[in-house]
Amino acid sequence: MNELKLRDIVRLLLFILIQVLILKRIVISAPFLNLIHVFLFPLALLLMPFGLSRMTGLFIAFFAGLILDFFYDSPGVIAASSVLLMYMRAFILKWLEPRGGYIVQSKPALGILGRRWVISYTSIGMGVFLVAYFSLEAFSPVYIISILAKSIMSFLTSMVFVLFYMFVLYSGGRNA
Amino acid sequence: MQNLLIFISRYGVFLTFLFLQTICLTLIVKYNNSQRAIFINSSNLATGWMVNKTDQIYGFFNIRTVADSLSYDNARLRTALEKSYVKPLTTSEEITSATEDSEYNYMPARVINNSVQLWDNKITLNKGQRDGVERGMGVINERGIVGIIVNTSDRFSQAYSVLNTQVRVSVSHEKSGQFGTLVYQRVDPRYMTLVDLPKYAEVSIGDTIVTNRFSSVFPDGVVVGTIADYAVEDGTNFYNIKVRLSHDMGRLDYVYIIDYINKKEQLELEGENDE
Repeated sequence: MNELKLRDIVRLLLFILIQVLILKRIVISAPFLNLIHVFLFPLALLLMPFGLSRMTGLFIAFFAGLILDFFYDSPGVIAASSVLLMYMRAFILKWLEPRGGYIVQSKPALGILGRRWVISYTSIGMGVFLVAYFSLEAFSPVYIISILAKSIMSFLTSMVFVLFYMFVLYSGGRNA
Repeated sequence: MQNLLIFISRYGVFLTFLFLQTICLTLIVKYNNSQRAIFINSSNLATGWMVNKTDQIYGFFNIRTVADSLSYDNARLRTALEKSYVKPLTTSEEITSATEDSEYNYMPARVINNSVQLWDNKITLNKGQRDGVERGMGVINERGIVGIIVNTSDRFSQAYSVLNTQVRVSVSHEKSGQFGTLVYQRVDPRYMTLVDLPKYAEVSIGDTIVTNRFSSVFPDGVVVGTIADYAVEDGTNFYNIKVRLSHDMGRLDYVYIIDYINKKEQLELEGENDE
């Protein structure tokens, strides 16, 4: 079975630590967009085992999000975005499913699925998360322009970290 | 029971998702100030709309209650303003007591939000449906016109400032009695533009512009401002007059909301004629 392995939990906790201790301090100020947050943490959710029960996934996302929310002082915002991302993950995976399906037990893996797949998967995931996050942060469709602008800026900066992790540090796929 | 289990197993993930999102949204609204403000505000808009609609239905029955609720201040103002009465054939003693002949009620209110720098400026007042404010009522202060109520919630009401491109006020040139329309042309919040005043009216700089009662929003003769500049628009028979407002719209504080009691009747009558 595709159970949660220790390394998934460790990775999640590590990402949370990186997020609150390092990335939270990176705030790029640009005109009209007062705060752009860099997010790496959603990647930990995206890298959860494929076969993980969706119910478990939702709860993991919820609690991980809540922990982050306490550090970001925004109760519920990150949790809601994470839960949404986790819920959407199944649809993203289905949509990107390669011919022949995923190999059972595999987790999102660079070596098997290919560079293009990894980029699409992480981009869509991060996109969903960031749009949700900035929408909930603004909380009104009135700010749609600023929401989109912030999401795009934040997406570009976050993806640098995400892809760096995926292509330089992440080894999961190659020896899977 | 079995059906319930099947249902849960089929939609369990989605239900969990909804459940967790509900918790998150509750947290967001409860513990984040800006989001809470937006939430309360939006729900106020929604409830305000509903209350507004119901109020229109109950409005007919409520007229007397609303009139009663208008404060002591209104009564005093009504007494003070001769224009508020149907005049003829009564002595002054009779006027003071003849409140049933009153046409306009004045309700004191304070401006709690105001802008002058936008194209479409709005004002928020601290009186709402609870106090009998309704859409379409005029707002003035002791020195001139201020705006027209467009939106009401329970405790607050929002008015289009006269400095709003949506607002057109019917006004008269006091000396000649000719009338035209006052509009805001966005340039300078101290000035508004009077259009459609026929060019055979003799105007000069410094003449007073007052409201007339065609709009059924403002009473007759409220001072609007004075003529600062005028010209006949090319190819038309009308003046284009620059009107200096009688007061600084940026410094509003106390204002009066005007309730024209016979408005409904007047509009209904005019509507009948149109058919």
